[in-house]
Amino acid sequence: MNDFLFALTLAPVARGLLAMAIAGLAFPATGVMVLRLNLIPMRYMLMHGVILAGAISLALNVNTLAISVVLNLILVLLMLKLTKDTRFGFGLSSATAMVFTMAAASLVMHIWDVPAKDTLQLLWGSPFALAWTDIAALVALAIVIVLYIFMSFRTISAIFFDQEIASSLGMRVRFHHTFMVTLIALVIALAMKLLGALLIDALLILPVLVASKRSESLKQLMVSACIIGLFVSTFGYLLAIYTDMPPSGTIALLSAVIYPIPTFKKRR
Amino acid sequence: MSRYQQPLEEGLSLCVYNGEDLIFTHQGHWLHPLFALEEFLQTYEGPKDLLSVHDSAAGKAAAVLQRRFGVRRAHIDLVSEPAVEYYQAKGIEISWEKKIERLACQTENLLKEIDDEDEIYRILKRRAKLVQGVSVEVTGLSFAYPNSEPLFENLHFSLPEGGRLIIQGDNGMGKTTLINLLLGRLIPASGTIRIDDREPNDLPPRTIGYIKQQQTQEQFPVSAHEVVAMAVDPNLPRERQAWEIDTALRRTASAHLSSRNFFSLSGGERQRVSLARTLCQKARLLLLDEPTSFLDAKSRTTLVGLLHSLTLAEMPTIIVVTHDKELEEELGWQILRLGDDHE
Repeated sequence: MNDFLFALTLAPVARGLLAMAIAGLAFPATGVMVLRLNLIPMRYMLMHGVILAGAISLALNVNTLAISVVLNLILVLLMLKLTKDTRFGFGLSSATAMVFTMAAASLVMHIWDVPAKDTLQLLWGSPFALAWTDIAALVALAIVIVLYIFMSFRTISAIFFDQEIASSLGMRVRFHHTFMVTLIALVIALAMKLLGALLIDALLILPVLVASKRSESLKQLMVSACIIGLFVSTFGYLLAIYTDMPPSGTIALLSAVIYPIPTFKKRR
Repeated sequence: MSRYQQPLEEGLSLCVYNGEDLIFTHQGHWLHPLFALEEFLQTYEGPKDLLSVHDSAAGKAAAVLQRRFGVRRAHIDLVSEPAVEYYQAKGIEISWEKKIERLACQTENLLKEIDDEDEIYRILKRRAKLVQGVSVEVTGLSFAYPNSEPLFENLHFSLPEGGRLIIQGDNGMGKTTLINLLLGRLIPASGTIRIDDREPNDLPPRTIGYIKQQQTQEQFPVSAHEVVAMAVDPNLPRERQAWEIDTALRRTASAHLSSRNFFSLSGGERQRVSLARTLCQKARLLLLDEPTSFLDAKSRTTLVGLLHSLTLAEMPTIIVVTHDKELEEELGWQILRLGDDHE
């Protein structure tokens, strides 16, 4: 127990806890966007984009987070353009971009002689490796997410409900769609550093799936998903420290364990 | 002589009493004082069990309106014979200063041959410009998807403000395509669509209320309240927004559904909530795509009743697209059959 408490006093561990709490509280809200806008394929593509960013940053010895953010934004804009200008749907555009990013990552690794093992470290992430600049970026993004949802809740709910109806209500559907996709790109770039590519769903999607089992409204879904996300990320992180296990795996496992717990809905 | 029969005060054209208590006066002309009375009565909470009016002039139109608003006794300075006949036929106690054969006005002539009181009410509201609806003018409209036969060619129809139309056609006749053209989502191959004398894409936001064909497979938490709230005017003060949402839900008897997931509601309940959404939107043109799909008999009756009440209250222009022939009979509106010659 003393070791556990001592570990929490260490700066990287404390920074990690803070980051997990912020991410756990804010990121599930974008998971709602991923699920409702049917952006699962795009999420995979962005995860591959981060691997390309990792390869580039190792090759050029520059900040991974900055490259990931820039690259993900470029990929999202490219995909939106592809979807708009061609007969490709969002899914097909994502698949195309996914193949492109992995091919580009393998070329970068080959040309600059980047060890594949180092790049693939990104698949696992580490909340202990965060700098204060990462925390600052996380806080800024969390504030943007919360403010956006708070200020545009009516529009978001209409777009989630039915984009044609939102459009008939005079809402700027394309603008908000692009904004939400951009938010997701930024969230994935940051979440990769926390949990890694493989376990990102533990923070983004699983809290939403758990919350959706009981929610009757979008507001309830958003609030419940964020509370569950906060619980899973902080409790999972502390559990990982206590048991000396990797945080990403522990958090993902905790999410997966919570999901099948039965919930009781009022009968009508 | 009762109080309501005493001479009108200088400048007044209408005085309304409940029993001997004066509750409303107006100085306007034509039927405007009576429409103002209607608005007043909607919020007046005092007794109105013995409404008595003193009106400066009344033809058949005024008589129909007064009966509609619950008037039991009327004293008219200048009354027409058709009005007196109407008052007497409906059991309203009538007295007058002077009776003439007809009022010399267009409204009296217009109503000469019409007996349907709802129809008379709609005509009068339209003439008083108290209708929420917009005019729709479709001229020579043609449309075909690429590499396909035209869905329709040279289609014509027009609707006045507050008009009602059923567009009937079997599957594949282009009913939903026509809705998309009216919404401005598709561009016609030829012809024009003018809504309130503008192109569909030039209309102010929220003019068109669209109720889609019900989807059954959706599963997503969004409450009925959130569905209605998304349509409220965001520029209104917060309290007013809440009032609009609440009123719309109550008007469609769906207030008790407010906290439930829209997608867990029955087909009929979803239609009621969707109508509440368009009411909250204050839509001036209502487009309903196959509104009776997935509805049981009771829900159909409720929907028809709601549509009927809309055509008498807010009076938006309503276009219903359906292949349901029973609905045509139930609504009894003007019908446009796709596939017929529309010249």
